[in-house]
Amino acid sequence: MGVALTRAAQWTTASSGTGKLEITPVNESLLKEILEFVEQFSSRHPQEAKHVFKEPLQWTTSLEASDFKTEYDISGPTVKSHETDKDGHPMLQLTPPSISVHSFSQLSKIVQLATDKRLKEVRACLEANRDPVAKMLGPSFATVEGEDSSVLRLLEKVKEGDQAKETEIKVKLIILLQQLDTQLLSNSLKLISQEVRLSPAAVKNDVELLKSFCSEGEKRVLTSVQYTSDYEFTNGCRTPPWRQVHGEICYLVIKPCDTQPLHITCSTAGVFLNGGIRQEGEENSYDRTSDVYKDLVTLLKSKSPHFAENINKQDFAVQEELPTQKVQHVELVDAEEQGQPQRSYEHQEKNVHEKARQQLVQNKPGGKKKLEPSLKWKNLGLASPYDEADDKKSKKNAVSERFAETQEKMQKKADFSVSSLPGRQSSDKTKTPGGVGGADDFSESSSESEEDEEQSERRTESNTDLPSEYWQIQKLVKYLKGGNQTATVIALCSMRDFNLAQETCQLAIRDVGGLEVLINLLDTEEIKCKIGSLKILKEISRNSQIRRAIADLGGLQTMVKILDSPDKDLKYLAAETIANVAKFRRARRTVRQHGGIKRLVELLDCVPDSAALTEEQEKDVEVARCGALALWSCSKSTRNKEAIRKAGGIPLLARLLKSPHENMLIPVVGTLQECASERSYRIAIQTEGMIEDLVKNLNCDNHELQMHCASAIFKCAEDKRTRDLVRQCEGLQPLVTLLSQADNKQLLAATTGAIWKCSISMENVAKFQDYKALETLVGLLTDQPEEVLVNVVGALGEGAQKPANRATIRKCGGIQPLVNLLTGTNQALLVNVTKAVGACATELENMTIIDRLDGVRLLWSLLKNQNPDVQASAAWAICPCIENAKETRRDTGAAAASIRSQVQHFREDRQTFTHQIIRRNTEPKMNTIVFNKLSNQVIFDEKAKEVERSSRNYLEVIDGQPPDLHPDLLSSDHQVIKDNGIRHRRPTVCNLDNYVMKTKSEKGRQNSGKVRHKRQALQDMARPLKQWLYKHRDNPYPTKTEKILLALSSQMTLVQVSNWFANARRRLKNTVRQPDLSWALRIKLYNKYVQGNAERLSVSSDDTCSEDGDNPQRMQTSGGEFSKPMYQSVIKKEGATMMGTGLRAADAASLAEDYVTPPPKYKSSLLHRYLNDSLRHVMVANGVMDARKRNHSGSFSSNEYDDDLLSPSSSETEANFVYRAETMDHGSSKCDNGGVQKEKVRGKDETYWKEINAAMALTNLAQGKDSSGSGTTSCIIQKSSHISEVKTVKVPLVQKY
Amino acid sequence: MAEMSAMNRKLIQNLAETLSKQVKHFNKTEAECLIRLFNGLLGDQSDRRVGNGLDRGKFRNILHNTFGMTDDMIMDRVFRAFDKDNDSYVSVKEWIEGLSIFLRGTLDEKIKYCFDVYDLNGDGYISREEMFHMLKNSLIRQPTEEDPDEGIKDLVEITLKKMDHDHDSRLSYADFEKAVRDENLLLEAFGTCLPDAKSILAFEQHAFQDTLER
Repeated sequence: MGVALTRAAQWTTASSGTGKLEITPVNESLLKEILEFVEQFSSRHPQEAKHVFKEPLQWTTSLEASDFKTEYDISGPTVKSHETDKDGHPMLQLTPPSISVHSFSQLSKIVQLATDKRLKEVRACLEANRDPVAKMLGPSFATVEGEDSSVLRLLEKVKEGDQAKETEIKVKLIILLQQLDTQLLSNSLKLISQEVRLSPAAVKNDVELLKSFCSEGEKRVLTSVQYTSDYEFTNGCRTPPWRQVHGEICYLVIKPCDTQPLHITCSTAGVFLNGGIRQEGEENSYDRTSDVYKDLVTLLKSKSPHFAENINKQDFAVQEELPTQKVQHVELVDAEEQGQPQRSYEHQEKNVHEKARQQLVQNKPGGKKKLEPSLKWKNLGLASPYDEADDKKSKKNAVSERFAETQEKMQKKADFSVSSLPGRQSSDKTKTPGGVGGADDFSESSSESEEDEEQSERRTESNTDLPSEYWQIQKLVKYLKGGNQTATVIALCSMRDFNLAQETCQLAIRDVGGLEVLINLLDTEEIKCKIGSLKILKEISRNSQIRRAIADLGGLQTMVKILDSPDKDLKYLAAETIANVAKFRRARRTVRQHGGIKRLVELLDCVPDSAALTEEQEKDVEVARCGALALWSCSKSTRNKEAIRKAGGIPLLARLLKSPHENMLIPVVGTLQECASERSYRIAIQTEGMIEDLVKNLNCDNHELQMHCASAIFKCAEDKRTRDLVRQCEGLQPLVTLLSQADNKQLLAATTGAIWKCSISMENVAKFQDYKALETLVGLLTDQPEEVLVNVVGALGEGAQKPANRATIRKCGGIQPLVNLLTGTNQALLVNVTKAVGACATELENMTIIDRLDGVRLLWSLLKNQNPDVQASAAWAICPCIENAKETRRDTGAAAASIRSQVQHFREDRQTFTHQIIRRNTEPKMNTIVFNKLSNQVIFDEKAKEVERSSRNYLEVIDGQPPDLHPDLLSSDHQVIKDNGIRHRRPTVCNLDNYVMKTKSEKGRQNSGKVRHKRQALQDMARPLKQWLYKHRDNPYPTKTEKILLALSSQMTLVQVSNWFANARRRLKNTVRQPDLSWALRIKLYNKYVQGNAERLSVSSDDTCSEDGDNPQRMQTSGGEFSKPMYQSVIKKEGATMMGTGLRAADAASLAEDYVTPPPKYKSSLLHRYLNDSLRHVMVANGVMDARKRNHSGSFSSNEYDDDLLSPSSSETEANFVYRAETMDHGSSKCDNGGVQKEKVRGKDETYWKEINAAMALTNLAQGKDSSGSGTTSCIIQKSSHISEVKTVKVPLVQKY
Repeated sequence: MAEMSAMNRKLIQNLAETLSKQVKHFNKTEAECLIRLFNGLLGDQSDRRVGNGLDRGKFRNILHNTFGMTDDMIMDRVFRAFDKDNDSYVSVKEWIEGLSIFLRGTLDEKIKYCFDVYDLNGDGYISREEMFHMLKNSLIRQPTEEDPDEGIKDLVEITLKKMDHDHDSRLSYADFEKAVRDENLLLEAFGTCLPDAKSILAFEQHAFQDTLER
């Protein structure tokens, strides 16, 4: 207890005596342990507890008599214990406030009694008795620092032999106490070592390092470094344990080169000189004789000049491996400052370096992005006076800025946060005092496009042809620099006499360093100088280079500060200059970041309403005007718009909008129309009643203001309520009136835009109708810039939603210019034009004109446009065209031929178009558009049908036979046809076609919404390749040229094409392993045997294949000469008078039409294919009939015919198909089940039966024909499992006479 | 004493009333305050002798301490401009009238005042020499320059070019007026002779509010 108390316990004063125990965690734990020890002492060691102390422990207590219970004599305040020693003295005596205790048992009792005060009691006791052991056992046991001889002394006493029993107890007691002591000591050591500041390991490292400096030679800094003790404890200390508790780690003797040996103590608190410890045990030598240093090196530096001098040379080694990058970086910067010739090289190196650094640290999260080389450069530029080399430098600035920007972008893209090494970070901080707020910067540059970035600096003219202004300005700048305020003002005024709008003057000011002076003047207190400077800056900042320079020199920050100035002149000048400077993105950002937006918004606060203003108010208005100007400039950034809104700018702008002054209104409306691109502003403009003011201002004389108002309306009128408001405020008429301002293109563009957007509401269209706006608009369709055209056409498109307007457009001759515009290239324009044309085409007469102008073809060609929007609107436009086209055709049968060629043209178009659609179909968003187109395509097919029909009609007319079929019926339901008892063969086929179309369109609708598989898209991409392969099945090795062409048509790369062919050939070989087969045969076999998901070589392109192969021939024959022998024979033998050759031709052509129809989507394509095939089968059936008629052979399986007549690809199809032809008796038109039968797929087992059935039916059919019976053949197409629906197509048979 | 101060107050009020009618920029209370301030500045001894006012030294102190003017010559000229009757003292009347322009003058008044200040010899023109004289301290002398006055001369030429509209190598009042009207900054073209806004504010606060409270 003694050692622990004296050493470990932390006393307030070092000297013993009246010290008090500090309240520290160490002491706290010590006391607790002592307490525990004492508390349990009497129970654990009852005998020893009774031992009477040599001297009582006395202390001032807070205990009172009332605290004591039994076993005590309580008389008033004093208390005596019952227990007494052998002399009769009570073992405990309390005479408040002091208490004296003679034995451990009593101590234990006190501790128990004291309950919550126990800790305080123990503390008081220990404080009063610094060496309790000595008191307990006698002075001979007093703890002597450094020595522990008590046990020895005790042993001596034991040897003496007297008072054996007492001694025995004493020994036990002292052993117990010693145990406690060691326990306490070790505990406190543990605690202390937790708080070590200078750890043994750190000290050891230092010492090792220093030892390395003790080497011989020139670099020698120290003579020797030695520990005083070689023994190292496990905790790394080399001091004796009782010194360790003081936190001392080790003692060193260091001999520097120039001074006496230093005796050093390394402790957790620091390093200091001691009294010179050579051997352990010299007590006084432990004392501190110097200040405490934080580490060995600092101590040595202060004690040994030689060391300090030399250690710096080896600093790099000492300072724990500085990041090498820092060193290099510093060097580089130095080099740049010195302007060394290899600067650019180093610059590059630096860039590389920084990149490397980014990569190094990119994984460290949480760091601030800081990469501002541009700023650094800027500062360099600032520091150096402008001179001849400056030009070069500024160029370099631009380069590095650009570099920084691209790097910023790169960073953004990669989206990692770059943190720097600590060293670098600090250096960066010092170099960029502006402290441009990190993250914001970067996000900013992402949010704003580069579109407004101006041209970087140009080289100024060489010195040879400097204008005279240059020298004069240089002189003035000299006076600006070197004059007092009077001279400055004169110089400033004189400078203003130059034509500051001239670029030479502007650049001269910059080049002679005038800009810096001007901007510095803004920082002075002199209002006159500031005003003069701002007046010049305001003028020259119209130049983009100057703007950049001002921003680079930090002028914006100062000007933003000036906005706070009480002087109104200053305010408005500053605002106006900001308005000029903030024309580019970085400047706008700077303004925002320095709180400029808020201040500018505050400038708006004035009273603009009253017409008569005092001088002061006028100034206020001027300030507000300039504020609005500045805001207008700033509002070109999205974030600034947001900032303006947040600063409460909208109500202020709304108030200023009521101002009667035009020059005030222009910037206000300008700001508003700029901000109206934001939804929040549009709402605000609407709700704050600004529309009314905007409309009011439309009536003014100022074109610019009108333009901005119209533009604001244009942007706001997206909203229906706003459109209504415009109408209610009677804003439509002024808009129409403004259309007469055809010279001012900007105004015209804005006006037409507003009209366009306003006419989205039908009520507005009606109004425009009243104002005869459309007539004017049609007049604007020619000789206008595109931005005007876009709006005009948009307005016409909206207007043409009303039938009356469509007529108006036609009457005004608007169709032709519209159709002409279809040839344009501007995407936005095309979207609008197609819409307008589409809207116009709903009227028959318009359609006629459009048709005449070849507009439909142009629309079709627009389907191939790159822009999906254009495609979509073109597709929409085609809808009404086609609808109307059939009517047109019917009237003018003579046009059939032309239409036919048109149809052929369309077909080609359609093919490529479909390919494109399918190719693009991978994008989900395309689906809707695709859907539109698909439905259009279907309509197109219908149109084709109509064309055929009309041509047929035409031919029939030629043949002199009246068409017995009303065209309307053709488009009607087949049911109707049947009910009407139409027994014409041709119509049935047509009807089937119609039905096919319907089902197809249905299918297309069902599927178009689904996201297609990429695989499918790829297959579709490969379609041209497949076609090629099929065409060249004899030698499927494309030449390079062919490959390139294929690559172009398929939108693949050359490599992809080559690979595709290689793979395709391999597939073919693998599928059919027999050698020596021709490629053509292989392809055929492949198609036959290929299974599963793998697409047949010609399946999805089977139509194309057939087109390439069979169909063209068929087309030729049928379309051309109508001389296909089979048909001819049919015609002849059957004597079908109704079926003239023309009809036959039409029939064939129509079928061919179907064959070539590419599948719109995969599944629908399958369906389509099946349906096509079914049609073919019908044909085949007819053929069969014919054949039968001719050769009277037996019944044929349709399969046989398939193999003969159809492309191999349909073999699979047949497996899934069952044809059932039902022959009805002649005249029985009831057709029992109506032919519309739904038959479930009954599984593959039934297929065979059905085929038989089909064959039977066909036979019957043929027989029926033979017997000149007429009937209806229903063809029930049952789909295979992957097309879930059962489609039924009823084909009424050709009526026979 | 109380009687005295009562009489004195009455006197001041009368004086203030008459003066405030003569001077357009101060109302009666303000004039009264300025009179009190004037009396305060005069101190006790001048209270007795009527007709006396602020002498040159005192006035210059005021200019220097209150309005922060530094140029001796200009301060001298300002004193002259205040001291209309050229008796080397600024009387109460002159004080109020002077301050009226000094603190709240219109542009016209200020142009006149400034021209008076700059017309050193009072001949109605600011000559080349006068300009040189006034501007000679306006440039920091470059030790490298051979002729230290070169810059000043140049500056004078620049000023003449800028302001001398009738090209007679001297500035008439008409020249000066026109130049200043074109460019307000040229009002104090040859040295600060008017207080800046901040010191005006400080002075008025001191004069009108603090004096009233007393």
